[in-house]
Amino acid sequence: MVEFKDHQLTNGLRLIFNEDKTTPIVAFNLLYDVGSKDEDENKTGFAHLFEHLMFGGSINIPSFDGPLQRVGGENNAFTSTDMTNYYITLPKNNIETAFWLESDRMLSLAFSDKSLEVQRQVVIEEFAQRYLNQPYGDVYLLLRPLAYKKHPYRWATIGKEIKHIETATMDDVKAFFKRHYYPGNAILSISGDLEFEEVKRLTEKWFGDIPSKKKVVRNLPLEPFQKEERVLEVERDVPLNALYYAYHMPSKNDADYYAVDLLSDVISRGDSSRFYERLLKKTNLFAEIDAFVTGDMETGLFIISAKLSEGVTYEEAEAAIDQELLELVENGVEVEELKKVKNKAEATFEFGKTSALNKAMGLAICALVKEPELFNYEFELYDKVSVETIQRVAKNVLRKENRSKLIYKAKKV
Amino acid sequence: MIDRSVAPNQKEIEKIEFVKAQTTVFRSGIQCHSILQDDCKVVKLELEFEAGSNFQDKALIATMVNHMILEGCEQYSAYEIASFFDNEGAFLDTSCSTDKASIVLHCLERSIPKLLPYLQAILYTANFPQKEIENYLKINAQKFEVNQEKVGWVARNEFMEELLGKDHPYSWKVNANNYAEVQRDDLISFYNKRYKAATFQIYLSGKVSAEVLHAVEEVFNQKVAVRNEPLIAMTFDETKVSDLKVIEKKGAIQSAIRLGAVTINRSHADFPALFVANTILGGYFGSRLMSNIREDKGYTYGIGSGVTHLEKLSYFIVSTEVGAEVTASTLKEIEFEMNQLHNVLVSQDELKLVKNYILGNIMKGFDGSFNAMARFQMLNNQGLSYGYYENLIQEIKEMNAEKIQAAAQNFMDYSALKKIVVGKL
Repeated sequence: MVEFKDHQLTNGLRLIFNEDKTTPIVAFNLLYDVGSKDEDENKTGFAHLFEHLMFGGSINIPSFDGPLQRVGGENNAFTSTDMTNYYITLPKNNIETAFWLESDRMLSLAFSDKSLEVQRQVVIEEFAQRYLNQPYGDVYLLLRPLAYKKHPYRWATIGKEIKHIETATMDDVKAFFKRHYYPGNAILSISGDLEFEEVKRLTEKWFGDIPSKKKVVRNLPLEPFQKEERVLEVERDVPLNALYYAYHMPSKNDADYYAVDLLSDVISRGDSSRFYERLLKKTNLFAEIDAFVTGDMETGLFIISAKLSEGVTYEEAEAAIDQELLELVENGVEVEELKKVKNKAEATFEFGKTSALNKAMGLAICALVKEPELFNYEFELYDKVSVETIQRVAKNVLRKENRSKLIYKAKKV
Repeated sequence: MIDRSVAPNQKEIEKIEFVKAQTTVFRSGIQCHSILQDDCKVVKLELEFEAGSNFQDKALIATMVNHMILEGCEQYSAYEIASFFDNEGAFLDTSCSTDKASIVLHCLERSIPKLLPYLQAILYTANFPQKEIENYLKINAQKFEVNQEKVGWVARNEFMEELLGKDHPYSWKVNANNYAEVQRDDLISFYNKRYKAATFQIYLSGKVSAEVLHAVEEVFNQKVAVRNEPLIAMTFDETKVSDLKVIEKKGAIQSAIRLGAVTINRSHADFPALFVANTILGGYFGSRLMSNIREDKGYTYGIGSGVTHLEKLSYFIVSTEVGAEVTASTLKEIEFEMNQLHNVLVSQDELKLVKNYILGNIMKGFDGSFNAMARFQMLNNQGLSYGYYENLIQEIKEMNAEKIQAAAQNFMDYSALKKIVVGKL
């Protein structure tokens, strides 16, 4: 059990605190309820670009990183489809520095032109390094718009195309801040060797006078039900042919989410999993094969990704994968097989509770998804899944009409 | 109203508590190092062997033995072994570096008694089935082709060859043909010498109860007969100065840059000054290379420098991936920043920031049993004691601009660096 206290400021900021007496380091995690799903389809990549700009100085403090490093702290951040999360670790006796820095950038950024110009360039290089200059790097730039037609999950967090980053203006930046960065849209989660009353006092002191704002109601377009298989074929300068299947699956708030996640584990988590043993090792058809869920809050994707061995045709590869999936749909999984992946989930959760940062971040994300208590009982949701449920969700999800297929061919020289 | 332009009072980092490892010598002669973290339910068990790639006399052998030790033993097939560990929800991994090779188990404490006998069977009776070898080679030869397309991966390998020469044991560069040359006998002989009959070290962290410790001693009970012989000679031509080596990659939109030189190790009296000088140059997010090349010019997503300590030598390295068209400008800026450290004393303000940043980072390095064990493992492998950290912390607190300048002048000379660019210049 990870104990925590939950408190809301009058301006809407939510504070979650876990006391951890075992560590001299405090984890300070500030999550904003904004992700790439909140972007305009003509201005994609913005939530992530904005995350970079959050380090370009705030209204009263010219540099974010410097003062934090000066007190022995460190920080980082990430943006996903659903959230933007900023986190700091620092020695506990300097905790107030974290409050000072994070509250000032929630109050207002400096909005310097130089920062926008430079971070625009940095993000373009990030785009190049991670997505364009890597073999198979653009797979999700292709697969997302194939699987989604209406929902904003159809673009990747980095953005649809570099052009959207290149043309972002200061007005866009300011409007984005105004719309998404305010106390009621944030969750502050802290774990460390502090007293709750002191944490509350510091939260009131630094965040209390930031004006509240009415929470913007999200109204995302629903993804229409997919009625037939979609196929996209591309050719790239890579050594091996690759194949990707993406199936729509339930959202994180649906009880079936946990069954689908376990289904993907049965298929490919660990060296005794079905794909590893039966496809990778027995058949020699694949150089790599994997199954996983994207883990999104709204209806996400169940993905199968494979690299074909030299000389193997797409027909052979697909037949082998389809046969495995069909077997799951028709015969379900063994009780032991399910037990095994539940044990993996349990061990993963237990390792996740061993550091203050994991706890602070986990509590914040659970609060966003549903409630912070979820951090303590999420494993039970996995543990409750039965073999019958696994077979039912396999039937629902692993349907050809629910699938988008990407054939990613190696260009022959 | 609070004055937000003023930083809260800063408290100095006075004391850093080291959670220290306890060492037990088992009846078999094996050393077991442990750190208990009572408030968790999980254990990390690492078996570490003198079996890194510098011990091999043929490419790929060390990595393959390390990976394939899990792929079959006298009693169990690869699938059975994987099943035993998967069934318990455990994670069994291997890792192989130039010096050491490890088998690492992460699991719930309650699984330890069930899993140890399998670990014992693997260690003492691995048998490297021919079928598994063929599988490994086939899959990894193809992965190799994929990696060859990554500029960062190519640059890393080319850099070690450029730094030490192609015959040095630390610079084994794999080529596509090596996969056809591996024989089962090569693996078995390496395994017999470096795993089965060799001494090894055990590192235990997490919920290391007395029962866990006892159970571990019971399974690793075979007397270790053979000591490992010393390394083969590691000589390299220190006088060799090379021009920038450019490996063109058609269509690359980014270039990978690696620059570096062999340098002093952690025991050297000047190391703390070099450590601070490196941190200032490229060792943290606010470093000069990051500030100039990322935060001012936007040439890259990231750039860093560091000192890497292998067991027999240490080297200084600068590495980044930058837009292909700004490759040359980036090299100029790196040279400029290195020269600045030679020519201008570091300001008191920057020095103070860096000192505190480093101290905070050392504190974090000892946070929790898993981190604390990683620190101990480093010390143990480099023949150092906790005194190393005590000294380092003291030296950092007393560091001054003159010492940093001297370290930069002595150990960070741009013209003496070996230089690799993969992509375009």
